Amino acid sequence: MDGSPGTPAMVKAARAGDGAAMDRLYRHFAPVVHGVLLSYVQHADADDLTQDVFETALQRLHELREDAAFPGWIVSIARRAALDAKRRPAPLTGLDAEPASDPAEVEDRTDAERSLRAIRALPEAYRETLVLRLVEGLTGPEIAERTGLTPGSVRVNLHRGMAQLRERLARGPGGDR
Amino acid sequence: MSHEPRHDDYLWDRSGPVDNEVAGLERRLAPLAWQPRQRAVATPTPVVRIGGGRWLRRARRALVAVAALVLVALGTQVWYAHRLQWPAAQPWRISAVDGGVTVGGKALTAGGWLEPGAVLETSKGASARLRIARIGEMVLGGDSRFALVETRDGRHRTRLQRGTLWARVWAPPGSFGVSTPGGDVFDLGCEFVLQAREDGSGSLTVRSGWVQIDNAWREVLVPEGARVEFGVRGEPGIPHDLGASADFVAALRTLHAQGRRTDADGPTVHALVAASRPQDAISLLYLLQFHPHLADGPVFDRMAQIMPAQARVAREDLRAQGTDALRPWWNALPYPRIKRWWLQWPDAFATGKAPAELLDTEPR
Repeated sequence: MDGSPGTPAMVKAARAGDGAAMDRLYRHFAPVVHGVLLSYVQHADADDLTQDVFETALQRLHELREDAAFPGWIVSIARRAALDAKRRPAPLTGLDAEPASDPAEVEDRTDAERSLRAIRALPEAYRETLVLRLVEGLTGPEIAERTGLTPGSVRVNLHRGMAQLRERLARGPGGDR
Repeated sequence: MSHEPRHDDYLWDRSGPVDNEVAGLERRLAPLAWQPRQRAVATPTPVVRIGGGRWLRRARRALVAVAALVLVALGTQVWYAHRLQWPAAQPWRISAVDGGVTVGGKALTAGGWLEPGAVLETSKGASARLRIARIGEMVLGGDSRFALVETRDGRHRTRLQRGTLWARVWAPPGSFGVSTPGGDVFDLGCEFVLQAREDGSGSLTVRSGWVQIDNAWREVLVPEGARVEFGVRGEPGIPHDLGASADFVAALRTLHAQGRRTDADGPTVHALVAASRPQDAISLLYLLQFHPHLADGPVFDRMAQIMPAQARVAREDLRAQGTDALRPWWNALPYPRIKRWWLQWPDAFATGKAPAELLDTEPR
């Protein structure tokens, strides 16, 4: 899988300094970068790191050998940024500390964090694919196109990851540790 | 790769009948998704200015020096790029064996190759030395069972079912990973010794850089000069400095095992604090991270005493903000930054040391 037909063209234009192409790349791949980051770090950190990852990627775009390899390349940069961020202790702490207003909102947020924590406890391959599907709202074919994985691998990861997630969620609050 | 059954069409591309559980998760998790906003990334605009005129002679000399530096830099870059490249599924070289070593059940008397999927086993007292693609090397100790799972540019994954493994890797964080019955271990630019048993228990000793442990229990980062032990089913304990006293380690194990039942001002806590040295800050900090109620007792006071004055953490902040308030202490720990993994450059070169010395986990 080498990205959508437009990806190499966008990368080529971005290499040449085309600001509009950089923006298109950013909008197309930001959900993937954010999803990969969110698989490892807290929500607030993932937002900030998404910017950092693109900054790094655009500055190092000249190092990319093939334009079509951009999806896998940016995913690997995001993964490294996440691992680096985990040097800080925040990922060990559980819920994000955010101001709460409405109890219903708090409950929704807690449910979301609990579900996300259960996904994060899955093996790496399933974790990233499920976050991209369930959080970022990408379909399987979109995930394949924007990560450089084959559709077959994505489908297998989704299927097996979801099976493990169902099991984990069925075990209740302690099961998502 | 074979496809899974087709009853998950909704999960795949939202076609077919709605899967209520998947739809519920989508609804709950959607607020955490990326919110589109303007890209605030500065466009890189390299600017090069070359001076001239009356300083021409000096400029020429400077240019020669710069050209020499550029050549060295280019050479380093080519070497670095070559080091990180590895064709997908290319076997790893087994450079030396000692004693009974088999690959796929066949005995190996000299060097050989380990292909993805193949299982390498050593008998008691035996050892095998392998190259980790081009990014490092590893040694397997006796009575080990090891397999290469996946290998390609930037991603090398293995499995240690049982036994002892020493590895030294010089590559960007996360390039090399080992799964064990107790969980996954990822190098973050480092040298380490990993012991694994089939019931999930074992230990990890880090000699340089950082290593990340990731399993169903929790994620733990272990810095150089520290060790962590895993209980049955892989529960990681609290990392401790290799020079920690036996009294300190014993108290640490007891406190971690007691968990929330620990008395923050009890005798075990006092014994721990009395036996602690400045180098034990990593353990005290992990204790506060995993068992925040201990901040009500002398563990917090001891940390405040050990850490630099400019890294200030207040008890009130810890109560109000949770363990996020510990960040100044985490940032002040005297370990190398993961981002600067390349500073561990001596790890890029092969070691001539004997397997027994490399696999030894005692402090040096």
